[in-house]
Amino acid sequence: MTQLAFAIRDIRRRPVVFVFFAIQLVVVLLFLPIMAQSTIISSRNIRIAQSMADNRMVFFSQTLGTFFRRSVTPDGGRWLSSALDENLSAYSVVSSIKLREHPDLAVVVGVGSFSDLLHIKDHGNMPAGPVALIGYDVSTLRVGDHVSFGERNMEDILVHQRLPRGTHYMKRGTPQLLDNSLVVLTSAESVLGFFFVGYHHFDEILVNASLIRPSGADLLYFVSGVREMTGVALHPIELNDYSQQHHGGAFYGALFFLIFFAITSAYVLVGIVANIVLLLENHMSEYAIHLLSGACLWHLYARVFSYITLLVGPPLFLASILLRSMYQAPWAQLFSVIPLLGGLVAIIAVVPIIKLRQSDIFLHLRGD
Amino acid sequence: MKEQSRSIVSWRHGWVIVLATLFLSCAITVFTSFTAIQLILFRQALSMPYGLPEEAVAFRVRRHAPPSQVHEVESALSEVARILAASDTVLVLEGVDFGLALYDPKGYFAGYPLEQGAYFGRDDFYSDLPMALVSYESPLHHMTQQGFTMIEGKMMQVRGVYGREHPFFTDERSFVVSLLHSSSLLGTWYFSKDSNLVVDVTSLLQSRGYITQVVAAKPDEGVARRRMFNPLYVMVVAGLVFMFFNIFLANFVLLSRYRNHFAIHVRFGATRGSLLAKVLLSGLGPICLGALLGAGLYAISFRLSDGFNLVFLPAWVAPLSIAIAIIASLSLWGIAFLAQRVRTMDMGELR
Repeated sequence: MTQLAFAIRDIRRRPVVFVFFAIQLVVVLLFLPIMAQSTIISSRNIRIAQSMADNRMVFFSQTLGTFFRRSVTPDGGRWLSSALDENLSAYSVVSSIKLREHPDLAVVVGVGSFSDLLHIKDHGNMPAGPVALIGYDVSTLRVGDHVSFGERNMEDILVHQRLPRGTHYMKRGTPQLLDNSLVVLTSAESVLGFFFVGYHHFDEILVNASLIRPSGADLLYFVSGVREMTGVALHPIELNDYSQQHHGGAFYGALFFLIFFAITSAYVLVGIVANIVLLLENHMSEYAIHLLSGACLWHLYARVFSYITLLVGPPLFLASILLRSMYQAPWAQLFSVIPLLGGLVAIIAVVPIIKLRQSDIFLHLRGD
Repeated sequence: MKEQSRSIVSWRHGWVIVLATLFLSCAITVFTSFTAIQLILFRQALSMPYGLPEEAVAFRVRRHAPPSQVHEVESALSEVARILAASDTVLVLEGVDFGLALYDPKGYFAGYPLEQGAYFGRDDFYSDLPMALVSYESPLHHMTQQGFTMIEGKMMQVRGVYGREHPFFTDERSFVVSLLHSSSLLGTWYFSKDSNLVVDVTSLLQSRGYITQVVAAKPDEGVARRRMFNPLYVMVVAGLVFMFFNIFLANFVLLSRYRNHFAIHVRFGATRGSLLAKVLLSGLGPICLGALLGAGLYAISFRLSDGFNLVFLPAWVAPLSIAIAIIASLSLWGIAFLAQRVRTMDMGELR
């Protein structure tokens, strides 16, 4: 307690320097995780897009005016189903469906050639008809369970296998992880008729459609067919170009600032260490008197640790609270800051403690 | 002589200076590259879009009601073409979807080379046959079969294919259609010059239920500057200030180890100025080495990752970064020396 009081007195002696270091810590502790997070997400997106580059996928955007006036007819539904299921190498997804038994589980219904994207083991041994697969982190279902699926016609679908960790697919140019999802592989025809009532999922299937390695003729067939059968004008976008522009730009922007703030953080740590070393040098005579009055080196170490904790702790907690509110993380995660605080204090304390150990403190009482 | 030419700072500390300058130089190169990119964007933001002349004017067209029927759009566009027919005004309609609509019967853009095919002819702007230019290697280009492709739901004849150097090229837009065949009236309308015709066109659109709002064809310089000096830029500048302060502190601690050394020099006749020169000279080598290595580290790491590298940036980025790193490091090194309190210095020169 006494050492804490001494540490507070050290702060009060040079409050401006203390506040300046606290501001520096808040800035770097806030920006470094943000940049690291952006770099990680965008590099993951690039990696996924690159792993799919050979598929030369094309997805579509709808011309707003025509989508507003679309017509959903049985003929249109049949045409879209046959294009996705039979005539083209194409897929689409419906992700708005929920299961009654597992309302919290994300469900992704993949139609057309969706299974080709998943790198499933024993693809040839998959049972005919709809099949369910579970993401790597799904704990509420196991392989061999059955899930009831559908609205018009309910069918119990076998959970055939668990997907490898990090399995993903592309939805409108953005990678989507399937680790926490139930994937149902079926045909577009089933979703538009057999399982569900009417054409509830027509729009979703249409807007999420992607063609795999399409030729120019395939593209024209799909775009002109959708226009003719539904009235919707589609604009094709190549995934490889899109990901290079969007994910590539985001990655290099984030990496740019990650490097900058990483260097800034290193210098802030160096600055804090230098500041504490100066503090020690200025107070050596005082420490010598303390030692002469019966204190041990341990008391001096405690004073240094207290000073560093008071310097690093508040900015670290402030930055964590700001990051928590930014990323909507639970409050409990704030406790994970404590080991980080301990680590930071230990790293910063190394040089000052060595300096204290190696200094002949009593020498500083001499007047010459 | 040999003794006099020896550096005042030990080689061990010399390497510390190299390391400190290396990272500072790397960070400064990131900063100057970022500034260069911001300046390029700033200049782009202040240039006229699509190579239009400086006197161009623009207005934005919106609509709160549901989108117009196709025949309403066609009739409005025919009216616009009729209004503009008597003049040499060029109209570029930047639509809300993925392309441009163009009215340019006098061939203002005809001089720009195309990758394939030809530019619109005068009659194409009045023809019922939909015609378009498409971006090279875009899906619309790949989709072209026997000279036709589908754009905004219409089969269109592809007149030509433009490349990256063409003023119509952007990453977001991949086609240009003749005005009469635009699928929508919404978006930003750029006219090559201001005249009564522009007022006539806005009146026409307003009478059809559209809202028109005059906007600057070229963004306002103040807005562009605010966009350049965004909060991230401010944070980066703050980061540089933090670095300078911390390097000063580290230099101060490092030089404080030489206080006795300095005192001895002063005892034997050295002045504060001559000592400063010696200190600066001893720091110059490691600082220059660190600055070069830092810029090199940046260039190598970004070149390896195929991202921003110094080649794609203006030529001044690398030398300026190195110069700033050297000047800043040397200044901080000198200031750290001047901030030292050497006892003999306070007492004055003793000979």
